[in-house]
Amino acid sequence: MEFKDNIPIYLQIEQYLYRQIALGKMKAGEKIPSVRKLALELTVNVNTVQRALQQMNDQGILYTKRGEGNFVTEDTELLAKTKQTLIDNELDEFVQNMEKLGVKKENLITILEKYLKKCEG
Amino acid sequence: MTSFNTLFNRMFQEKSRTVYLIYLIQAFASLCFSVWMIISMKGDPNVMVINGHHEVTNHLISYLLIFGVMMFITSFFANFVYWIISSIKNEKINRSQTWRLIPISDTKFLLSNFGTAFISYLWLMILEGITVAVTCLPVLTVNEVRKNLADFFSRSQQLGTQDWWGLLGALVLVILLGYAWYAIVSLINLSSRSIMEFLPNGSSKFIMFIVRVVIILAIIWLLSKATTVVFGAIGNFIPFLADGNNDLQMSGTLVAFLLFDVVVTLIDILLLNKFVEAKQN
Amino acid sequence: MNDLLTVKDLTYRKNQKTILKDANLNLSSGKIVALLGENGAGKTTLMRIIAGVAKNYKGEVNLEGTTKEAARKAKLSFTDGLTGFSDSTKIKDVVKFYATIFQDFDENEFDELRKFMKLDNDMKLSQLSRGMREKLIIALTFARKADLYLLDEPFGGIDAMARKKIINSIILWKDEKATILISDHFVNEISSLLDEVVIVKDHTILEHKSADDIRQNHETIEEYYESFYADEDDE
Repeated sequence: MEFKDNIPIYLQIEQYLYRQIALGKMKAGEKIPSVRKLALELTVNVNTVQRALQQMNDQGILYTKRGEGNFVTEDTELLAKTKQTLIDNELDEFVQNMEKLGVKKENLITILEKYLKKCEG
Repeated sequence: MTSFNTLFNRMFQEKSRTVYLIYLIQAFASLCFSVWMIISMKGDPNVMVINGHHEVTNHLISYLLIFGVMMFITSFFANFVYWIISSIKNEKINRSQTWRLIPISDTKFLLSNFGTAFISYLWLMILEGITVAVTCLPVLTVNEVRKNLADFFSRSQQLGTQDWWGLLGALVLVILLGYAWYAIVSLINLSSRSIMEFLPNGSSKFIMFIVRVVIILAIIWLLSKATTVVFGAIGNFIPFLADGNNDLQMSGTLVAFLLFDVVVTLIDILLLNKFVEAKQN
Repeated sequence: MNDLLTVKDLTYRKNQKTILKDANLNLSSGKIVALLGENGAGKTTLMRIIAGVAKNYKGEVNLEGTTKEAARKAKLSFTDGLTGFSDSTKIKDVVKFYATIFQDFDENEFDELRKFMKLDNDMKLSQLSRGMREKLIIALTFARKADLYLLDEPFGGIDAMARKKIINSIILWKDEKATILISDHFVNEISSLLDEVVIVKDHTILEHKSADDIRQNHETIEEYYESFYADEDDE
């Protein structure tokens, strides 16, 4: 997996895992792949994966069962919150990019509606 | 860490490969010479003239004898060649990064290198010796030959125990000298390499070559001066050695050479440990 | 955290030229560290000194509590160009050499690595392309269970695809506690793997930083490295 080299890798791994969870690829209560497997999959250092998982553990998205590995939390509220954060991030980026292109916030909704109608048609 | 035995065995394995190669070449050459000799010989090879008696043996024995003699003659050349090759191989190993990365002290490394060179040289001589003995032995079945040998040995019985000690001493001396050769070659190589580490790099290849030759000559001169001094010193401190007493004189020479070997080895170890690097890969 | 490797006030001169002066470095266990610097900056020299094949230096090199060369050599694995072997040597004979000499050489591990790199045990060294030779060297280096791996420009002749494969294998086979020091020009391929970066410049070790700290500043490793040479372009 290609990671940006100017943002800490562990943060990017966190983002990646959040997405996996939000997209439902990793379900609530499910065991996530081992540290080594993730490191291999993402072509990153085991240390970096561990740091990311530690952060996610601290935030409660993941919890560890001794001897068994890391599991996604079953706290649906927390999961929903996390998904919302991801959606908010996307919206943030979208609004910012639109502004750079000259589309003001007031006109955003109209432009969006027009675009969606075009897609359906 | 690698044990001395492991390294010694492995180094010996490497060097004995060359021994076998040289031995085979030598055997092949001897075979060719033998065939050439037999073809160009006039008269029957199986008829031997010993002390005026005509003895007829079968062809095989005489062919074997001829082969054995050829092996003996070629051994002088083969041994000389291996002498040179083994010295070069020693120095190559001293500078090879593959070998220098082995986890063992420089002292054991060097001793193993010298030891295996020397032993493999002996091994070549043993192989040649066995070959010559085996091929020449059958000729003893000829009566006349046995008679002559028996005569020779009875005359040689005049050798007393003193002469046996002398023989043993000579053997030890040969061993010490053989070892000394490898130690000296290393001394020349290691010291010239050490000095070159301190010379500026930009100089042309020709200058570097000249420098090396000068260093080599200087070392040889130093060595000859050192040996005269050492032997002179021993002669001075132990005056009775200069006397005709053979045994003590022999012991004195042996001690001198032993000391010489030890000192040169110590210098070699020092140079290898402190200055001489492995060639960059 | 106990340091695995300590290099203190290292000064090294050769042929009347100063290669390294007052270099200091501390490496902890379990890290993947890049050694960056221009050609001739002293990266290989530094590795050779640590590995004990370069001599006559001032300062101290301490690996896991020992400064003795022979003990250090036992604890580290250095990519060796295999020049001690004749061209006609087969791979399996090279392996026999290592298996005999090094107690921590794992023949099974080598076999797995060898298969991974698609190398045939019966091939002679002369039959190997540059890339295959480098793969063999990497396989031999990692078949040893060492505490410190020194990789000196291990990927020079290897194509991009193979490099990725090999990097994957490094992740798989590296022991948790082992530290890898890689000196290489292809920073990009390995940058996502790095824990730390060491810069060799001006005859010394200029910087030693954690990779994530660099990225925290929104710099790529490459940008960070190039920033050391920025003023030189302005002349």
